[in-house]
Parts: sequence; C-alpha cells; structure tokens
Amino acid sequence: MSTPDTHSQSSWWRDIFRGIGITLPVLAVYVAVGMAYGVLAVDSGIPPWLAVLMSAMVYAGTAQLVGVQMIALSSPPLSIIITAAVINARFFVMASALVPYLRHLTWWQRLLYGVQMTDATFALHISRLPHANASRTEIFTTNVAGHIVWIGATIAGVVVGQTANNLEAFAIDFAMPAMFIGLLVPLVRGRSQLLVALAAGAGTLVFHAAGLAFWAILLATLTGLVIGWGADRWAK
Amino acid sequence: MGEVTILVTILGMSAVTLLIKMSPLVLLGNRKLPRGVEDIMKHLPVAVLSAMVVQLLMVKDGALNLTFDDALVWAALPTVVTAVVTRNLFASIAVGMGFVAVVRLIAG
Repeated sequence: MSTPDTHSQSSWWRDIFRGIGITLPVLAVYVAVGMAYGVLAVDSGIPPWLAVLMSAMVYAGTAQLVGVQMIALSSPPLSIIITAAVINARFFVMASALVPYLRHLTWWQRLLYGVQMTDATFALHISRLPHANASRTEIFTTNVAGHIVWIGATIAGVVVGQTANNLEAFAIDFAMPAMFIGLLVPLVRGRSQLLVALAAGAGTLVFHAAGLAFWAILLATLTGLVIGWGADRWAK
Repeated sequence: MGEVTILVTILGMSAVTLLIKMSPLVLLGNRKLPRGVEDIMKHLPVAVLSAMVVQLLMVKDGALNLTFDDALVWAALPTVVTAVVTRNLFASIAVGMGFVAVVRLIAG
C-alpha cells in the first residue's frame, strides 16, 4: 500500500468515528423511540413489514406516529398523506436553512442529504457546520447511521410488540423531548434567541388551542422567526 | 385497512415527505439566499426545536393537556438545568429520562 493511500484511508475512518461520536446521543434516542414506534404500529394492527417500510421510506418520527394512528382508525389514505405533508412542512424551511452549508456537495449528494434529514440531524448540523470544517464523510456518517438505527430499532420494536410491553415504565416517552431540549439549550445564546424560543413555544400552545393541531409546529416556528427578526431590528 | 391500502398510503406519505425534504436542497443548492432571508433563517433551529418540545410535552393524543399532572412536564426542568450547566446532550437525556423513571417508580 502506498503512503498517500494509507493516509486518506486513516482520515476516512477518523471522519466516520467523529461522525458516529457526534451522533451517538441521537442514536440512543432513536433506538428507544424507533422501538416504541414499532410496538405501537403492530399494536395498531399494521403488518410488521409495512411498519418497517414506513421507517425506511418516510423516516420522520412525528408523521409516522400520527400516520400509524390514522391508519388504525381507517382514515382515508389521501387525508393521511396530506396530514404527513402538513406535519413535515417544517422540513422545507429547515432544508432551506442548510443550503448555505451544503454548497460543496454535488446535486445527488444534496438529494441524498434531503432524504435522510431529520429534526435531530438538522439540529446537529446547523450548530456544527457554520463553525467546523466537517467532511462529507462525517456529514453522511451522521445521516446514514441515524437512518440505519431508526430502521433497526423499528424491526426490534415490531418483534417486541407482538409480546406487548409497557414502554412508559422505561420513560421512553421522554426520550424525544429530552433530546430536543438538549439540542435546543446550547443554541439559545442571548436575549433575542430566548425570545424566539418563548414565542415558538407559546405559539405551539396558541395554535393548538385554535384547533390547528397539525399546523401548530409550522405556524409556531414561523411566529418564532418573525419575532426574532423583529427583535433584531429593534436592537439595531 | 387492507395491506395494499396501507402500502399505497405509506408510498404516498414517503413521496410527499421526500419532496418536501429534498426540493430546497436540490433546487436552491448552488444559489445564494438573499441577506434578509439568511437573517431570518438564523433563528430557525431555536424556533423549530422549541415548538417541538412544547408539542411533545403539552399535547397528548392530539389535544392540549395543561394540567401539569404528568411527570413529563416537570422533567423538563431538570433537563433544561442539566443542559444549561453541562451543555452535554447525553447528560441532558440521561438526567431527564432518569427523572421520569424515578418519579413514576415512586408514584407507582
């Protein structure tokens, strides 16, 4: 083996390990929540292979949990698909925010990035990419690992699901909120961002109270953006 | 619901979700966003994460639950404190889930 070859190989492995290291807490949560989703899906009467297929092809926790419940209620397929689109509309705004930091990728790499983007990997990358020189290998290690673990956890969940289990006992329903709090807090630096967090949080309650359950996340997010923009202008 | 109907539903969910996630990255990929848009977008991570947290804690089975009788809502406090002090994602998740587990164990 020639020297440059060995060198690039070792840096390749280093980037993979770094990617896994950064993603590890998120992967732990995906194991817990992916399993919980798998259990719920089979409990709702969805064939195990279709529950796993949904994790592979939709790969968006909230939309999957709502989708499974709507399937269990025999809602019309079109209404389930539209609900998924509304719940996931936030990803359009999030993907747009990542554009400046993924410019070095080719178009098909960006396409692949979009397929595997989640709330958590978005949060990891939006706080890391502007400051660190992350390699493509590291970026995609995070995304691929998340996707694989999510599918694997779902498989584990549908297997466990048939024996039925009380997941609340293990506090698994707090795994997702705890992860989002852990990702959110370090991003709140300064008064205007605290204001954004409070506005988006309060907005979620208001839009739910107004009966806009499926729109709440998107509308509350946009409210937070407007308040943040206003606060910045005020401070100037 | 029949297996085929569920399959079609999942394929539809997948199609709309992928379209939403991919289109900005593929269509805007090489273009520079206007300054104003970037100024607004810098608040996005905080806004979307905060909205998700509140939804996960205060909404149960699609309806607002403001009774504060759930260990989940209270667990947010030690989790936030841990996150502020340690800035460590693992520690925040562990303390939060540990709190919920202990409270439920005590409350039976």
